[in-house]
Amino acid sequence: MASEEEKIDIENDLEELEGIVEELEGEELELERSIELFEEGIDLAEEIQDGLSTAEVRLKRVIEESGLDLKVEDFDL
Amino acid sequence: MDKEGLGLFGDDSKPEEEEVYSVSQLNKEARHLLEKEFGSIWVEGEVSNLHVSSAGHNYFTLKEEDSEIDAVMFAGDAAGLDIELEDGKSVVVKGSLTVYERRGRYQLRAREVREVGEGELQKRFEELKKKLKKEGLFEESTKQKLPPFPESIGIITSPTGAAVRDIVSTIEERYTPVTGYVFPVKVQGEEAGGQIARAVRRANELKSELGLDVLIVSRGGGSLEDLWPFNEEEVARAIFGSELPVISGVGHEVDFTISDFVADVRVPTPTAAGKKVVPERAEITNRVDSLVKRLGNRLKTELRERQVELDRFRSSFGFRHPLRKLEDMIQDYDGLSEKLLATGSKTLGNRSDKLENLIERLSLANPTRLLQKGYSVTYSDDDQVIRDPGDVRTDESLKTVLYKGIIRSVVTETEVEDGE
Repeated sequence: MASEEEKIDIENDLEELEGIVEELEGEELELERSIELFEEGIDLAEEIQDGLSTAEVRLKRVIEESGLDLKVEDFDL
Repeated sequence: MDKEGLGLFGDDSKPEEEEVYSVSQLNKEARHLLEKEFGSIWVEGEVSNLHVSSAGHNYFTLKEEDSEIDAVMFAGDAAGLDIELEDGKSVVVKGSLTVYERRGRYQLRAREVREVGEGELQKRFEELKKKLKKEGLFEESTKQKLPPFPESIGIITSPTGAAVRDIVSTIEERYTPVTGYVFPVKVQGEEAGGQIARAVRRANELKSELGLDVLIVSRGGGSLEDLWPFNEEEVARAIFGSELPVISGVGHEVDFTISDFVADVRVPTPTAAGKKVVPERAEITNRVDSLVKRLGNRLKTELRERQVELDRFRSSFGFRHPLRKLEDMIQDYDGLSEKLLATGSKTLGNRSDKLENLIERLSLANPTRLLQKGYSVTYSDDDQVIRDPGDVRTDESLKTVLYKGIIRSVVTETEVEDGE
């Protein structure tokens, strides 16, 4: 019943972005490779930004019915 | 023998052989005796004759039907009161027995006051705390770390209370890419403890189905009795057994419950639980920002290095033609990294195009590469780049720069293309 909406793994993206920066700052690279890394990095940054711009927290309510059936419904405060 | 002698002066004489106390001595010793004998005690009674001094000290009488004792609660202790003292209220007072020496009155120095019924609960609380502590349920080493970027948060609380609102609105202010799953339970009364414990266990069963990363058990402030479900053994054991890390945020700042001790993280209030459970958006944005800056700086450095190479090339071959393209490019680029995060994702659509363009221009601007391919540059005898045959005279000496060197030549004939 987990949400089908696409999830952005911010933690993972951040780690990858850090890895890229480290690689770029590391040893001498061909300019073409540097630009490639830059591009990848920007993609990740953009993805993280997208993830953070989610408008609001999704809120659900877990309902247990007698037969141990799990029901999750939207919940408004 | 002296005594007999003294007897001559009459029976009512002072018994000098027996110890004679001064009043102050007596009061002092009585005080020591009471303080030592009773230590810290709980006394139950009804408040009467309450009087609060201008300094904030509370003077009252604690009484039952046919017996009473003076009590005082000094301002410092009174500040920690979580109930209102008032005449007629039945309370349990924790304090020590002492003597007010100046008046020779013995009295209770109150340090804590609870409503009747709470004394018993307090006792049970202390006992359970001791027992669970001994079993190791509060050990630091059993505490789990909270996930830094949770995606799904289980919130075990009343669906109608203020706590759930406080938690969710606090999360929303900080970080929105999460789903909150509310497990509705009662948070006070007899059934509450069992429901909370069941919800903790159920949330763990649903861990993978709902993708849960962390749990919050919470309720707002209340009396010790209101908070009691969070002091029940079943709840403590359910929290201890939870594979999901548990944040306990129960009551107000000053309230501690058993679930606070056994949870992986204790926070003082529901709002604080919301703060604890998610990172702050701005923190991440700043981190991303600084990473993007580092990316950009590195690329800028490389582009500048490339320009230095070009400059060297240019001067070694006597180029006068200013190769401004690369400088322009760096400038183009300069704005790019700052703009990226500042302007949000819409304008980022153009980013790839911009970069491709950049790369293309870079390779075009690289004269070495062009010369390698067989292109060359020809200069007039006053070192101007020649673009138009009309610019040279017959018999003029020219210089042509090729990949591997220079050719000097003399013009014998020129032909201008048509259509210009």
